[in-house]
Amino acid sequence: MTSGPNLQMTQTNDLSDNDLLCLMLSGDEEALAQLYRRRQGGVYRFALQMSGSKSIAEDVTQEVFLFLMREGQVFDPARGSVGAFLLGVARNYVLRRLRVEHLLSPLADEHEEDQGVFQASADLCPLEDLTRAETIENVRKAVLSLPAKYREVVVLCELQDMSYVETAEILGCAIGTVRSRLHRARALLLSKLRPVESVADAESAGVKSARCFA
Amino acid sequence: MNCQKFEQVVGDLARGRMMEADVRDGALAHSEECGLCAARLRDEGTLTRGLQLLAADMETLSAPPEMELKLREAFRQRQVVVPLATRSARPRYWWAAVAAVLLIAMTAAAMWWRSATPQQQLAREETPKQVDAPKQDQVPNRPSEIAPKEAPLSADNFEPRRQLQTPKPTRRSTTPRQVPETQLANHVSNEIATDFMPLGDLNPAMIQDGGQIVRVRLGRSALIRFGLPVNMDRYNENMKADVLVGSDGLAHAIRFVQ
Repeated sequence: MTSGPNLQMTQTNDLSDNDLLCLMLSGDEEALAQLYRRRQGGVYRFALQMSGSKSIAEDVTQEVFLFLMREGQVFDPARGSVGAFLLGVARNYVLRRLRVEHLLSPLADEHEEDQGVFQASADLCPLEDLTRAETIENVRKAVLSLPAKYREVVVLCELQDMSYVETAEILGCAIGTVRSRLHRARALLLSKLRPVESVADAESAGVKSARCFA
Repeated sequence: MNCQKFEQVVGDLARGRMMEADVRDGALAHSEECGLCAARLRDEGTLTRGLQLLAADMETLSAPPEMELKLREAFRQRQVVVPLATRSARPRYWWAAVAAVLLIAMTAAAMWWRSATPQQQLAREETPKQVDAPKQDQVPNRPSEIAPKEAPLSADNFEPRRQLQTPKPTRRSTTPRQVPETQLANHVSNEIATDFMPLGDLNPAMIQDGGQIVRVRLGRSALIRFGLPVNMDRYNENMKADVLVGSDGLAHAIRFVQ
């Protein structure tokens, strides 16, 4: 009797997301748990990277899986993977939440509070670690300050390491759109992250019109 | 390769994405020749490393462990609730169907009665005029009894009855189409509104303690998200909407107003 759940767990471990979803919809709680463990991290991180707020990320993650329980039958395997479907749902919830809470001007207080928390890692010297933490914080701020349509592309392609095809599936747009948005987003990020003095130097050096077309 | 072409591939080059070998070699060769493009590639590389650091920093983050327990609990409750809800919903549908049939039958009977006995109604409306008349002149209730008396009435006598009877029907008939219930509920008579659509899971308990409807303006593109048709010619225009804000300060439902 005690080996029941373990046996069930090993069985569900081998199953694909699609199979787990089917089992879950037929009332298998263990399938839900397995699917949740497999996919919650990506959904949570996506929501966190999009919103910059842990509470929104938690709410969205919960909403996504509740939606899956309620309306999981709308998933169509022909249109993409379960992971992409979940991220698509998460995206809708995040955007709705940001719209409702007028959080589109980003940088939640949580992160500002977190700024002071600095944890040194064992393999880096403190100064390197500090620089690393500073870089991460700057990049995080820059990403959060992007307009939503650019931010989501950066989060998916750069932070979630998804291909253009997967990103296009999630966002429901063409691959070319993803590419162009990413290009624009990276340019915006560079302009935000580039130190002010270097821009001033570059301008004083007259580099604006010096691009070659050879 | 020139700077323009380099610009198109520099992102993928810095990110180490798969690309054609000759394009990659051409881009690298160009960056060695052109100082600005080399600087651009360096910038892109730095940005990529920053993003990778951020991704690695957040790699271990995940939802709190108690969420799984909550979801399991919700799943179990759902498994129990759903069959009960469907079982109890059936009789409710039956009752609704029976009520609808009764309503239709009553409406039809009323209409038939109206059209069949105009004389009786005329007589009924004329009774106030005859307040001072003797009792024996009062109109009898049965249509069969009033029919002979009504026969000699002229068109002049008939006109006031129509004026008295028609106000409600004429108001309805002058409108170009039937007025939806939501429009009647609307305070502004010339506005048409959709039904309230929930934003997320609308829990009635959340709005039980009160709330308010806030008029907002938003792009017509928002209609798409709710599965409503959008006129592409006016896609970029704004439209009005009413947002139902609960006592918890969150928006729970929305309706679009035209």
